[in-house]
Amino acid sequence: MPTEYVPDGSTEADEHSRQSITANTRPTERVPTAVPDDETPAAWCPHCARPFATERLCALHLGDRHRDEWTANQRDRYESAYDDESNELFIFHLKVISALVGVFFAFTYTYAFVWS
Amino acid sequence: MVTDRPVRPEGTRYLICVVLWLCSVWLFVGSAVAATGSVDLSSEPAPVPRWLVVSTGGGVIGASFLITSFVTDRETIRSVTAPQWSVPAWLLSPPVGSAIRLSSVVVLGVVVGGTVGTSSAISAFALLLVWSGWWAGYTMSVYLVGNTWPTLNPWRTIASVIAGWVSVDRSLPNWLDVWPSVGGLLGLVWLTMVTPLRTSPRLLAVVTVAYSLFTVAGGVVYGAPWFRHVDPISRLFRAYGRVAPFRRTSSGLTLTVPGSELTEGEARGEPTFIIAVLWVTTYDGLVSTPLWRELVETIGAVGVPVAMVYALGMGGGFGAFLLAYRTGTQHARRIGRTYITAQTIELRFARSLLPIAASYHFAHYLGSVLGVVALLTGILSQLFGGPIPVPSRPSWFGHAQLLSILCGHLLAVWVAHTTAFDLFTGRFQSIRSQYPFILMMIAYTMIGMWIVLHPSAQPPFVL
Repeated sequence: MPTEYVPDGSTEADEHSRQSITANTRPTERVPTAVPDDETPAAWCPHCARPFATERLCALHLGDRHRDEWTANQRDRYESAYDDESNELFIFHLKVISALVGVFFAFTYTYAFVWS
Repeated sequence: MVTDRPVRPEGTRYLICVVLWLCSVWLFVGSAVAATGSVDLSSEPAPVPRWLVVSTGGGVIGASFLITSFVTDRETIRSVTAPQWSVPAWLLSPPVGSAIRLSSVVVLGVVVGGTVGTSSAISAFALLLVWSGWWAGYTMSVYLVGNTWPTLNPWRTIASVIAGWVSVDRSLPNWLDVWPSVGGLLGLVWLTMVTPLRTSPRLLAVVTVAYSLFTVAGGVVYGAPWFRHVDPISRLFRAYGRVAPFRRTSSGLTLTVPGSELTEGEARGEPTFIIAVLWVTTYDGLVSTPLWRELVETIGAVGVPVAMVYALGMGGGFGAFLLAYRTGTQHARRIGRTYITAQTIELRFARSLLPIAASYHFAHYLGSVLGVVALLTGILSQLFGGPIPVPSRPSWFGHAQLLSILCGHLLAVWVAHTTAFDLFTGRFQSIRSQYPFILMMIAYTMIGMWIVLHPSAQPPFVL
């Protein structure tokens, strides 16, 4: 990673690394990947050749990173994968809500017993 | 620019989510306030048993993760840490910088001169300046305001002046990696534990002079990279400075949302160093607990030197922390079903631990900083003919300690969430891959709160 030095030469400016979180898409970025020996990737990204463990992750990746270059077919795949994921997330969030309620009542009762 | 897939207006469902979300925030803030509000850490027995406060701490971290799991829109997550503002650059004008550099060298001279001097009042002042002023107070300014150490560092100033006369421009060998800085950090903190470095001015002078010679020599030979990668103190401040809102950039000063720099990572062993920072902060608190005292006495009775026990504890604890973090990364990779390399995940999540380390530093040293402030106001009031106030701990002391720990952890949870959504694909993978990190944070909160809740005793010294 290149290091920038400010003109006076002694006070360093840290490499300003906020680009990734502020940029909307990073189609050119290559995230280092490694596939375990006993696994075969289910899909590769047609744009950046990144391997994925499931078809759905690959479709979602297209929407995350390659919106400017995708085809109509790839867009359809992304949208259906997104909807599937939304349904799964809804179930997950129901579980999260019940966990929150459970944790809250557990603490409420414990405090009630301790304080009484 | 299209954002995430536009979600069809499912008004009712989202209304329910928002209402439930607000309720849970309210309930948890309520229970956290109830827990912290009823605990007085100073001396009186706590009305809430320790195990319950500790598990409430863990519960709050877990609950805050569950609540953040509702925020799944990447644009929203990005927008939280995106804002940044430039600060007028006149603050950084060269004369100001040179004046600060010169005065920091003078302060170093005063400290060394004061500690080797014969006057006990001056050497007591030098000790106070180093331990309460610099090690406690200045470090707080680094993570609360910004990393000013590259300018203030007197050794760096001296080294750059000498490097102007004799030019030895060597590049830092790569095989050194992160280990000199990690070893230096663990070694320095170990030295403060096993020797009376905090109370003996002579010893402090010896260590300061030795450190100065070593650091200036390194700075002259290797230049700025020495202070970036090898010098443990500079590297510690650089790590803490990542939490702070003010940041030096090549165009001047920038004000950002605290934590916005924490979602990235830097190569050259940054995760290992951050784990070392986290461990020394914990160990610093651990050695003043009664449990540690008993342990040292038991092992000491067998005939093992106490310094050795401290060294084993230092090395062993660091190894355990590093192993736990590496194992957590492997699990995150497996649970999230991602092919992103373990090193990348390790690198990107490491900085989320920094707010936690900073918050424990704050809780641990708040007392000594408040003591110095009370002392200074006492001296000032005496100068103006007023009475000398009796220093006492304010009533909000215990609450401020617990609150700082809570804030540090909540920031860490949010940083991990942002990092996961930046690094992983989709929403579900981003949430699932955070499980190991959140579990580690819960475990760490409970350990840390357990340490803070113990009445701090003088750690058993060797000499």
